[in-house]
Amino acid sequence: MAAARVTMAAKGRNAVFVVFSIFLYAPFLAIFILAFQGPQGGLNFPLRDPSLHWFHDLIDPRSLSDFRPAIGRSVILALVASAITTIVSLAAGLAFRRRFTGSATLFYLTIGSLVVPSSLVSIGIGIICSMLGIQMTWWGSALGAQLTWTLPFGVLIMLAVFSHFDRSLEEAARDLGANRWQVLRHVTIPVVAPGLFAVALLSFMLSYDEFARTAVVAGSENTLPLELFAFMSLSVSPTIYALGTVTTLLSIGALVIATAVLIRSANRRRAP
Amino acid sequence: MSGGAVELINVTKYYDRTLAVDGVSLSVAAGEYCCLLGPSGCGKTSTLRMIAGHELADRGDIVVGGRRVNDLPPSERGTAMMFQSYALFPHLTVLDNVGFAPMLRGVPKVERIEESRRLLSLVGLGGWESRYPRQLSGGQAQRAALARALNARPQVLLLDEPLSALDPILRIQMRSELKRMQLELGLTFIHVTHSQEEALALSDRVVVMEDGHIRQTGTPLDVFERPATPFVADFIGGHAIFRGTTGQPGNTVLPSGEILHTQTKFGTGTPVALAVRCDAISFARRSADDNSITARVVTIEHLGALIRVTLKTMDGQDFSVVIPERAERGTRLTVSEIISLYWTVADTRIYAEKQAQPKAA
Repeated sequence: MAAARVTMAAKGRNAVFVVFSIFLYAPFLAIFILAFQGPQGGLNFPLRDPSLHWFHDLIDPRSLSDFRPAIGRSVILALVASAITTIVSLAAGLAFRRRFTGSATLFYLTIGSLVVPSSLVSIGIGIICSMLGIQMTWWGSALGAQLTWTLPFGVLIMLAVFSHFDRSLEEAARDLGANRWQVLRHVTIPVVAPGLFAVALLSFMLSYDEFARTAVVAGSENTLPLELFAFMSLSVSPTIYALGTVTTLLSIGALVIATAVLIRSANRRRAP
Repeated sequence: MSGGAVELINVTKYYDRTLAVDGVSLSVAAGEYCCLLGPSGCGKTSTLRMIAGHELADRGDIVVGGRRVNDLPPSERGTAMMFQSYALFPHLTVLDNVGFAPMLRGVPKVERIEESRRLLSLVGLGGWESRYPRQLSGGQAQRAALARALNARPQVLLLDEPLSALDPILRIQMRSELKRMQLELGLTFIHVTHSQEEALALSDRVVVMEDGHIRQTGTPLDVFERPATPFVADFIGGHAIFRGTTGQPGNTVLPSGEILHTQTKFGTGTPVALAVRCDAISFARRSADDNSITARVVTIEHLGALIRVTLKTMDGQDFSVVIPERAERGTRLTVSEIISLYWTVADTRIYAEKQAQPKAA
């Protein structure tokens, strides 16, 4: 009887898992399949004469749909946003361990900025830039707009990480002769490294597919999401599916590598 | 390595406005094993942390090895601390943990590894160099923490409740190992504990603290045989305490109306506490002058060769006695039975209660 109940529970759990996976990945699966549409095929099923035609189109500089510059910009932007977010979140995490004047206010302001609608932030930054006569670029104003999105997440994660941090580790390091900088370098940062890694990864992904905040302030050159949107409103071809497939596979690959690194470093510290 | 003396002169510590340590003066000789003993919140850990340099003293002087160290960082005081949680660095192997201090000093790697290995085998952790802290048991983690602290080449080792995280059997084993290590190395050990058993077993000098004050300093025997206050008698354990009021000279009257014979030290009507060693109390009257009290048996615990009987006096004061199992066989105690207990006047120590005591400076 007990075994039967366990099996039932396991079956139920598996069913939920399958439904959840379908819900997450079915839309992508449709795009993945349609990316292999033949030259004469349309945007919808059926799939006619499967080919790599649209993937070729993707890297053909003569075609309208050369996304490589946009991908380059988006990757650079995401790397920079991720680096800044990681460093600032670490600093904020260190600072928030002490109560300083206005720390509570600063905390709520940080969280509050997450609920301001994204397009409003973008328009606001646009207005300020034109008021001050600053030219809007993807590496300037758009970076700023994205940081308003990535920073609060990064800070929240680091607050959680530091809430589990054992301060006696730092005391022990000082006791053994470390100065402030050595404590940070040899103890604090290595101990919170998995958290920093998570912040870097999340802020990279948030920045990479950010649309609403970047839309108004990116200037003349588009990031990948903006380019995609523009391309879709201009002419619709299965190129967009090919592009979606390539970028998604790249992202998944990056995630798998990142997770593997995380798991390895976590395993090293646990029992064999 | 050799030990250094530690001296505290009128050391005071406030947390915000709360007085944690109130004018503590103490001197610990070089190579001595000293235990700071007291209940939680008595200021023992704050005192230790001030010696280590992890807290700053608000007043007073801290002298280690003849140098005033108040303004020196922890690593320049000649002390090393073993933390209650051991505070091993989770991202470093045991070897790198132990080699942390020499790494900071810039000792070449080969030399560093050699010295760390030597210390690891000294503490019995040879062969565990490449493990990570999470792979160690409690006792092993403690040994690693000890080796790491020793590698800072301290004159004085400061231990914050080092045995509290261990299970009872391991605790006793590590206790004797700490003592052996201290004797072998000749270092000064200052060990904070709330366990009177630990303090009595380890120390050359026991320092009993309460409410930020030192209540008594002495050898374990001193403190056990001649507790300076009823608090010390109670905390060090092994004493029955009776509270009452002085009556006629040489008498103390308990709330129950029973009269106990005591030395005359205080005027009539002074609230006093009487302390009697649990093993000085017997069921048989040995002399006509003996003190006696009537009490109800609450529990009987067999401890092997000894029996601990907890009792309640007629006025509701709890105490316990420890008697040889053979002695009990003659009497056959039962729970709830009312019995008489006896002890000599010489074994009765008398203290004025706190409110009547002049305030310690």
